[in-house]
Amino acid sequence: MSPFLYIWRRSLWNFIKQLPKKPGRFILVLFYAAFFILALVSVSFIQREAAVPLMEQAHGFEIYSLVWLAIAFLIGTSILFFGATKGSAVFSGPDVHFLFTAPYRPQSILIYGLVGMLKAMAIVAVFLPFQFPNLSRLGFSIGKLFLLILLLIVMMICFNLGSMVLYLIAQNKPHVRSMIRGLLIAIPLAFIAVFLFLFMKNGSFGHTLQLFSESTVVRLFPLFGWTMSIGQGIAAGFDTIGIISLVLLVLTIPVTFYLVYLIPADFYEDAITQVEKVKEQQARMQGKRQTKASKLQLKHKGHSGLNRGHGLSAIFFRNWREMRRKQPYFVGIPTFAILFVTGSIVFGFTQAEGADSFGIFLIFIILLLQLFVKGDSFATTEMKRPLIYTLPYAPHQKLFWLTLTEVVFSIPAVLPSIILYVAVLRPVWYQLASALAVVLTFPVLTAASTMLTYRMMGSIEGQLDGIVQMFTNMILILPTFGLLVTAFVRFMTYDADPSILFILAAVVQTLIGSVVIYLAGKSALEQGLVKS
Amino acid sequence: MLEIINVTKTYGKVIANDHVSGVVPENTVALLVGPNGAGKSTLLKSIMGLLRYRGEIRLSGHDAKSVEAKRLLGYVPEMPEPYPLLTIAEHMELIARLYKLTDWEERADALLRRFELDDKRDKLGGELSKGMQQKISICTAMLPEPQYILFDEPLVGLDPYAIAEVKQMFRELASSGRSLLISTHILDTVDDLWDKVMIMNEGKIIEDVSRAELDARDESLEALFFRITKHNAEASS
Repeated sequence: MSPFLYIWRRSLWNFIKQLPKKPGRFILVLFYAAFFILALVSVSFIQREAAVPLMEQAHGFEIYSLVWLAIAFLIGTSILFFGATKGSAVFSGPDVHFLFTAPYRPQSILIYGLVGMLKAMAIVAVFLPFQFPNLSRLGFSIGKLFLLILLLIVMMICFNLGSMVLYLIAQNKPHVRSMIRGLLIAIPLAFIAVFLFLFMKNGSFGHTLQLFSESTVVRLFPLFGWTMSIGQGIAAGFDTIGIISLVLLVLTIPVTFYLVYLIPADFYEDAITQVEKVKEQQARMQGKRQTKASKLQLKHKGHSGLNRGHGLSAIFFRNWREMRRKQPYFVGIPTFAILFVTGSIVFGFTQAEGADSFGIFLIFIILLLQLFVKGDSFATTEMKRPLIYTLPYAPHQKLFWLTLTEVVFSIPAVLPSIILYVAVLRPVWYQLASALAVVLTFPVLTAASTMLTYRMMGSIEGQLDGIVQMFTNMILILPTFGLLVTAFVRFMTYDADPSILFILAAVVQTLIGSVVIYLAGKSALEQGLVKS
Repeated sequence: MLEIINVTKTYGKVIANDHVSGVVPENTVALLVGPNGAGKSTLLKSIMGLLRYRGEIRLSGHDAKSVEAKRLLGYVPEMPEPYPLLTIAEHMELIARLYKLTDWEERADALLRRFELDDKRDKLGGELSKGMQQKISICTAMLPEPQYILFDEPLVGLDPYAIAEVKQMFRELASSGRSLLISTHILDTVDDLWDKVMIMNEGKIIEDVSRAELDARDESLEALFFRITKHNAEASS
C-alpha cells in the first residue's frame, strides 16, 4: 500500500478509535452529524407553495444563469488568484517533516497535497446541504439540489487544480506570476464591461440578461462559462453546449492532475511558509503567541512604559497600552462591522415615517453584534496567560479588574454606532441613558460566559470550548433579551416607553454577570491553567 | 562527501545564508555552530532540499534535491512534528514504507527500546511530550540507516538520559562510517567526537577548521567560538 494511503487510513482509523475516549470530540462529531441530518430532513417539510419557483419568475432562468456565472467568478477568481501565488495543495507540519525529506519526486508529494485539498473540500461539502431548505424554496427537487451541490464541488476542485497548474507555470518567474494575476483580474472585468456595453446598447436589462446567458462565447468560456452551462443544464435540461461543458469540466480533473505530475515542481519552500503561517495563526488563536506588530502599530507605538497602574490596575493599563498599539485610533474591525449594520438600520429609520421612537430598539442589534464580532474578549486573553494566576492578589480583586477591562475596552466597538444613533435619531435623554446602561454593562455577561466556560472546560481553545462558550453566552443573555423583548412587545402593543425595562435589563445582567464571574471566575483562578 | 558550494539564501531583503561554502567528507562528524539567527537551520533546510537557494549542494555527487540524494540523507529537525493521529509504531512503519525498507521491524524495535519508547508504541503523536517527539524524530531518522544525517539542535527538549543516549548514538554512528552534520549552539554537544567545525555568524561561515588544526593551535572550541564571534560582532558594529 502507498505510504500516503497508509497515513490517511491509519489517521482516520485512529480518529474513530479515539472518539469514545475523547467525549468533547465525540460530542462535536455528533453535533455536526445531527446538523447534517436535520438539514436533509428539513427539506421534506418545506412547503413548496410558499415561494414561486425561480424558473417561473420573469427572467428567472437568466438570473439563475448569471448567479452561477457570478459564483464561478467570485470563488474561481479568488482560488486561481491566491492559488497561483501560493499553491493550493494542503500540507501539514508532519508532512514537511516526514514526506518532504523522503526520497520522492516533489510532484508525487504535490499530488498527495492536492488529494489532501480535495479531502478538505469534501469536509466543506458536508456543510453545503444546510442550504438545501433555502434552495428548495426556489423550486428545485432534491435530486437537482444534489446535482447543484455536486457542480459546486467539482467547480471548486477544478479551480483548485487549475490554480496549481498556474502556480507551477509561474514558479520562480515573478513576471509570469504578475501577468497571470493581472489576467485573472482582467477576465471578470471584461465580462462586466461587455455586459454593461450590451445593456447600454439595447437599453433593456432583461434582454441583456438573455443575450448574455445564451451567448456561446460566454457559455463555453473555460471553467467559468462551463460552470454556468452545466448549471443551466441541471435546471432546464442539457443542450449541446451544456454537454460539451460537462465533458470539458470533468476532463479538467485528470488533465490538470497529469499536468501537475508533469511540470517540474519546486514548491517545498512555499508549502513550508504556508504551514508556518497556519501554525502561527493557530498559536495566536490559542493565545500562545502574540499577534505580530504591523507597520502601522509600530508607527503608533506611542510612549514607552505603562505610565499608570499600581497593583492589579497595571493589568488594566497594560491592556490599554496593547490596545492603543493594536488600534491607534481606538477603532478596529468590530467597530466598523457594528457601525455598518447599525448605520444601515439607522438609514432605514430615517426613510420610514413615524419610526423615530422605534429606533431605540436598535440597541438589540448592537448587543447581538457585540456577541458575534468582538472575537476574543480581554478576559479570555488574560485567562490564557499565566500572569493573572500568579499575581499575589485575592481572586475577587483580579476578577474586578478583568471585568472592568472587559467593559471599558468594549466601548470603542459600540461608541461610534451610538454616536450615529444619537446624531440621527435624537432619542429622548432618558431613553438614551437607559440604552447606554444596557449596552455598556453587556460585556459583564460576556466576561461571565468566559469565566464559566473556563471553569467547565479548562480552556477556550478548541471547537468544543467555542461551542460551550456560545451556549453559555446564549443562556446568560436570556434574561436580558427576555426583558428587551418584553419592552418591544409593550411598545408595540401599548406604545409603552421601554426605558424602565432597559434599566432593569442593565441591572439584571450586571447582577447575573457579577455573580457568575465571582463564582466561576474564583474557582477558575484557583484551579489555575489547566491547559497551557 | 557533502559539498556546499557558494550557497546564498535570502528571505526578501534578509540574507540568511551569504555565499556559504563548505565540505563534510565521508566518515566525518561536523559541527555547525553559531549564535541564534546565524543561519544554521536555514543551511540545514537547504541541504535537505526544503528551500530554494542560489548555489549548489551535492551529496556523493548527487544534487541535494534529487531522489538519490534524499535516499542518503536523514534529518532530525529542531521542532519535530509527528502526525497527531499516528502512533509511535505507525510512524516507524510509515518510514519503512516511505523508504521501501525490508526487515526493518527488529531495527525499529531496537531503536524504540533504546529511547524508552517501546512501552509507548501505541501512543499517538498528538499525545507525546516535546521530549518524546524529539525521540521519535531521531528514531525515524535513524531507521533507514542513511549515510549522512543532519541534526538541528538535537538535544533541545531531551531529558539527561536521552541526551546521554543521543551522545552515545553519535559515537556509534561516527564509528560506523556515517557522516554527521550537527547544528547546535551547545558547544559540548558531541564532546570530543567532532572532526571539524564550521562557525556561522550573520549568514556566513566565518571559520571552517578541523580538529587537528585546532589542536595544533592549542585552542579549545569554546575559546575559538567566542573569539571568532565576538571579533565578528565588533567588526560589524
